[in-house]
Amino acid sequence: MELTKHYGRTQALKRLVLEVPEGRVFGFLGANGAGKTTTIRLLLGLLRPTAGAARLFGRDPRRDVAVRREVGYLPGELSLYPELTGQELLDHLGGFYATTSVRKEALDALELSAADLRRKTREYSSGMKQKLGLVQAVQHAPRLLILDEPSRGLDPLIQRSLFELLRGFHRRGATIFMSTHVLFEVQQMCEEVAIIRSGELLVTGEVAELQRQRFHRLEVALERAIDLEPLRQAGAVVSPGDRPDQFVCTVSGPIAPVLEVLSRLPVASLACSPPRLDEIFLEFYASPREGKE
Amino acid sequence: MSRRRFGFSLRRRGPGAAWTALGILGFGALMLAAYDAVGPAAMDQLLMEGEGEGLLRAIAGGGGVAAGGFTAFLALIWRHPLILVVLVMYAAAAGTFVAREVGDGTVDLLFSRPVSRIRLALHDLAAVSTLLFVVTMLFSLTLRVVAVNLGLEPPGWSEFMVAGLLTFAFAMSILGTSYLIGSLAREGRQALGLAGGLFAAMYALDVVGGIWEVVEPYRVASLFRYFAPLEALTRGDELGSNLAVLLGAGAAAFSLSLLALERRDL
Repeated sequence: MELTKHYGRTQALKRLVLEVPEGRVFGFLGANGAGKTTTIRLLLGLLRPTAGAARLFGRDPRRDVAVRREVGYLPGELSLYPELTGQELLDHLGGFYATTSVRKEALDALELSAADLRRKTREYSSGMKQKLGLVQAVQHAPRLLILDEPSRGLDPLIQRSLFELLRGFHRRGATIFMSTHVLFEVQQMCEEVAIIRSGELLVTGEVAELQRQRFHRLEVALERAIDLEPLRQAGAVVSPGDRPDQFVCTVSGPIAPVLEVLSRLPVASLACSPPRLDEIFLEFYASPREGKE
Repeated sequence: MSRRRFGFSLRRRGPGAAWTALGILGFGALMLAAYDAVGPAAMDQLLMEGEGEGLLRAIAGGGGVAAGGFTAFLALIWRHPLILVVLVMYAAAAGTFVAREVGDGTVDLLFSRPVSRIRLALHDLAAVSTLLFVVTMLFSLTLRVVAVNLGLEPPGWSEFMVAGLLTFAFAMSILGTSYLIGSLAREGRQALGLAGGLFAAMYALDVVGGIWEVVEPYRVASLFRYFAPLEALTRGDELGSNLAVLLGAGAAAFSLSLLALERRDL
């Protein structure tokens, strides 16, 4: 169903159609203000759609609030009740569910100690708040995790532990829906992605498929520096390398004419690698017409 | 009703209620001590100096009751602006909780749980109502105990109970109205500002209507008009309509707030 949301005259989401298959790790990418958080808040029933409907496991999260038992949610702009201790907050939020069986595992993975939990959350650093936010999201072993910027404020070691924890959830069959603009973590974690810009869905698909489809990236070293104009004429975008005889060749269209030109050049070495996710993301954000698929 | 969630709401609203109780109880006890120290005759003379009886009656919510002496002084304590400000501030702050959750950013954490918005609001209402009941009845009973201990011959227990119930009903009407404002306002400061402005206007209408005949008919629109402790202390058994109006206004406003809450974006 096409999902649309207006805030007054501002169109935050324009006829979004997005389906997240169960059991997948799904990355939801977009720049700030692209509509990621609006989509998530619609999914949770916090916002009313202007048109269309959001569904969780086929159920309306506004009318059928029980479906939210299956969901763990980490808000992007996490605010905690400052007068509560970490323990009180987890107990209160966990009280809405039948179990909090994963709390201990999550606390250990994210290195939140019993002493930390005895402190009021107003004394927490931003990293500790994020950890507590993650624990409250996962503690009831939900079938669906909706995480808005999950690694925000975490140091690299804890980030790694978080990814391990999430992989554990995934192995047990949970669906993970991550909204982020940190492409590294999407590359690390996600099987599928969707890219959204200005409230419009640009593309959705498997990460590997996107990497295969979007363009080819050739790293070339020549025996000597020569004029690269023939490559450009063949449709390649040529970026200079560290040395004059090195360059990176990006090909969006058919690759055969470029390879033919390369075969006539004094190539010393050639490496073909899939584009990184950030390159795909930037490509979509750079080319509005091409991006709309 | 989940006991755990009720307990959580009590815990969150409790400290504010404790400070409110401390403030109004302390003020009431001090006023009684001052009355005792100055002496009843001297205090009556002090109050009526400059022919200010009409204004005093208006502030005390006397509405046509001819009572002087200690009972009128008690009513004056009850409706003293300081007591009203503290009580109204607490009820308004508690009532605008939805807007404040939005403003504080905690709304996502609470309202994404598998519980309806109405249920969350009802838990909160139950906790705040309980606290308001305890605070207002404690205030009423404390005034009587202090007055008896000072040998001031206050009205009987039943009159104090009625006055306490009336205070509770008044606080509930403020609370219900504040819930409605909080469900409509975008965020906490806006809600508190609107509530403060509305209640200040209602108070002004009531006081001015008490001393100026032209405005008098419009007093019915003010919740303060029905909060008449002097009447409660002198003819407590005839206050059923005031209680009904205050509780009815509170219940109606709260019901409307649930409708607004269901429909609004958080």
